[in-house]
Amino acid sequence: MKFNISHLTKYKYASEIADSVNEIRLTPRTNTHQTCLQSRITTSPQAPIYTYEDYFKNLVYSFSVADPHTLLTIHSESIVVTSNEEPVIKSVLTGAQELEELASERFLDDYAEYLHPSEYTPITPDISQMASQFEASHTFASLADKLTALTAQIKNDFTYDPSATQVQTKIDEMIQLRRGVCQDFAHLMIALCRTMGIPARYVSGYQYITDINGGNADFEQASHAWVEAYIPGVGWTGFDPTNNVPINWRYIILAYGRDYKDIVPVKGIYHGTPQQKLDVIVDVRQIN
Amino acid sequence: MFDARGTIRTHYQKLYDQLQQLGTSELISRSEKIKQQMILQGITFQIASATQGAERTIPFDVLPRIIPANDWSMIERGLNQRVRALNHFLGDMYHEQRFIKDGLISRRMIVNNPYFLPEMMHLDVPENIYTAISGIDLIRDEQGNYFVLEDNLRTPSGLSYIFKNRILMMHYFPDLYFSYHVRGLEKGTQELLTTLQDLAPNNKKDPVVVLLTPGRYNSAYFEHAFLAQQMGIDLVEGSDLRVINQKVYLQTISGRMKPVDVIYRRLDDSFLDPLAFNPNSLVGVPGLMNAYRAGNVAIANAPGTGIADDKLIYTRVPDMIRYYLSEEPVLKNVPTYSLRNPEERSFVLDNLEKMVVKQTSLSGGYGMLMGPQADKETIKAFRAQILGHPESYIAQRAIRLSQSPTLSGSMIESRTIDLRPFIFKGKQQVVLPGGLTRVAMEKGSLVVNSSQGGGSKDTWIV
Repeated sequence: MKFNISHLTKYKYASEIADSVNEIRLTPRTNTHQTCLQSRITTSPQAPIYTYEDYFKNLVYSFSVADPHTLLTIHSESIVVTSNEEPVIKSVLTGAQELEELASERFLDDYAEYLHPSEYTPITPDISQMASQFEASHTFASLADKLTALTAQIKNDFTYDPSATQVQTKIDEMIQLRRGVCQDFAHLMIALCRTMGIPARYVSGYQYITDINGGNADFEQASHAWVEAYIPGVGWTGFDPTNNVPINWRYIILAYGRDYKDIVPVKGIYHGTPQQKLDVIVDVRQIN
Repeated sequence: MFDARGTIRTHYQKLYDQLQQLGTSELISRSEKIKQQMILQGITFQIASATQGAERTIPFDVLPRIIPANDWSMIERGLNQRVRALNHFLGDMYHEQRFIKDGLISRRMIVNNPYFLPEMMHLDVPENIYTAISGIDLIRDEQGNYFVLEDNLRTPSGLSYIFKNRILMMHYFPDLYFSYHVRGLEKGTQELLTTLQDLAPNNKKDPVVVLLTPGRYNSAYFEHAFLAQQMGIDLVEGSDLRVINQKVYLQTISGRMKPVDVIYRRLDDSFLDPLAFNPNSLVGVPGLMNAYRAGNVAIANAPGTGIADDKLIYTRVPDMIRYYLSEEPVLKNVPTYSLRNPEERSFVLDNLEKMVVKQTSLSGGYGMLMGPQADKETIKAFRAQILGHPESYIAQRAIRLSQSPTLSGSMIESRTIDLRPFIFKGKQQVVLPGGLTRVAMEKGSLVVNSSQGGGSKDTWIV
């Protein structure tokens, strides 16, 4: 499916600010799931853009605005084609072979950064307890089964609630509240996977949502986050613990990382008043 | 000063004779004058664990430590070799990772090391120099063998004390100093500046070098100010620098913007750039990492060097020397045991009273067990900690460290010493003659760290 994506970020400051430096991770990836045909970023005030590929092969745009200003807009536009093939969550090795692979020295080295706790995905006593309860509650024929069941359980046990948490929320707090947003759901699943010895990474992107009349939805919720877990013999496989639906043509991938900290879509530092108003308008449209 | 039979080692003979002539009361009086001078000049140090603002002078012992030129030439070769290997290792870890691929270290140990910076991966640093300034801690056992205790490759401190100690000794003990042909330090600060200038991107002539300090509340602020002044470079804080279009500028008092080529930073990695690392850092320079990535500025030492001076990585340095240089290490490591390994662990646990146990993530003498001096309770507590997190500890056989005569009150007594020489790596690599001799001021203590009350001595290569 072909999409035209417009992602507009507007900062309005209460008084003039200066020396603003920024990093943007909003360029769709190209891989087996999708192809990014076009992508560009424009800013106002206008600024020369410096690009590089980060450790996770995300394309990063960086720019600075030194002169005083009260308004900063960052407009990212791209055209992406996603694969129409319905994803199949599968294992190719036997359950025993998968476990043997996960425990092998070579595997522990190759996926080290995705097995290690991170700032947003610490392995706390709560997480360890949840993981062992989950593992004791079922028997799983394969990792594909296990990860599918885990996704369903998180979706079932937690409530999606945009008012419950903030961008800095860590999973311990989310577990207490039993609610959160996609970022929290993703971090929770990542931490649980890592506790069980399964490599997991954070995916930021968009989920295309149509309204009842089949038209294009136009709201911020299009920005989304989910998880990829590594199934030996198969590879990185996507899961959405917020919605428990397959990662199909509706999902557009922007960036990968160990957790949110690696993929912050828009971040900046400036000199001046902390009083600012942020508006984000994301528009994902299907095109022919 | 004395050998095992109690006779004076030949290179200390003149010092001994001079001390006899001088007499104790004169020695004490000069020592007091030096102490006054240090307070006047603000040569102070803050202790992290003490209540805020607790500043004091680092105890200075007036009796110099003397190292004969023969020993020194071996040490110098060993240090040069070690720094070359460590620098190769860093370049390799942040590029091809051959040392991992060839099975000499596990990938986990690097990518999950808290000092590993993904931001440094595939970033080409100026002149391929990561460790422009290294401080390598050496100890000497009773037989006179030198061992490397620890590598310091991030922001090693102590340089200013070396220069300052020398100035004080030359001023207050000219008779003693000039009775030897001591290798001079006059060129030291110039060599440091040349090393930093060598890193300037695009071989720029007369590059602008600045020293970036976290500010006057930092424990080593005196050192930052002293070194900047000696080199004739600007001492700046993060707020004095701005990054515009991946170029770093210094805002001068006249309002002019001066482009900066080389930053000798005395901030930890995580505070260096709030855009790339800790967003709450108020002492860093936002956007610095992208200026660095774009090749417009050099940072000394490079961010991410902590993966090479970790206490676990330390055990692999002899392998690095063999691997990257095809040479045998000139300086040996202290025999070290990994507590991850069950066999080594049980050996260590059975011999805790003969071991020095260190927590791998802590430095400055914190989180340490000194087996030979610890009471049963402490040993018991450490045993439990080790069993809880064996991977967080290493153990080293406690070495009977060499002692040096030290003025304590009105007596001259033996105290434990170590040595931190500094190595500058620019287009040339040089070792500053001598280094900082640290001395445990408490009788019988083995801990020489200044954060734990240790003092220092001037170090003479003769």
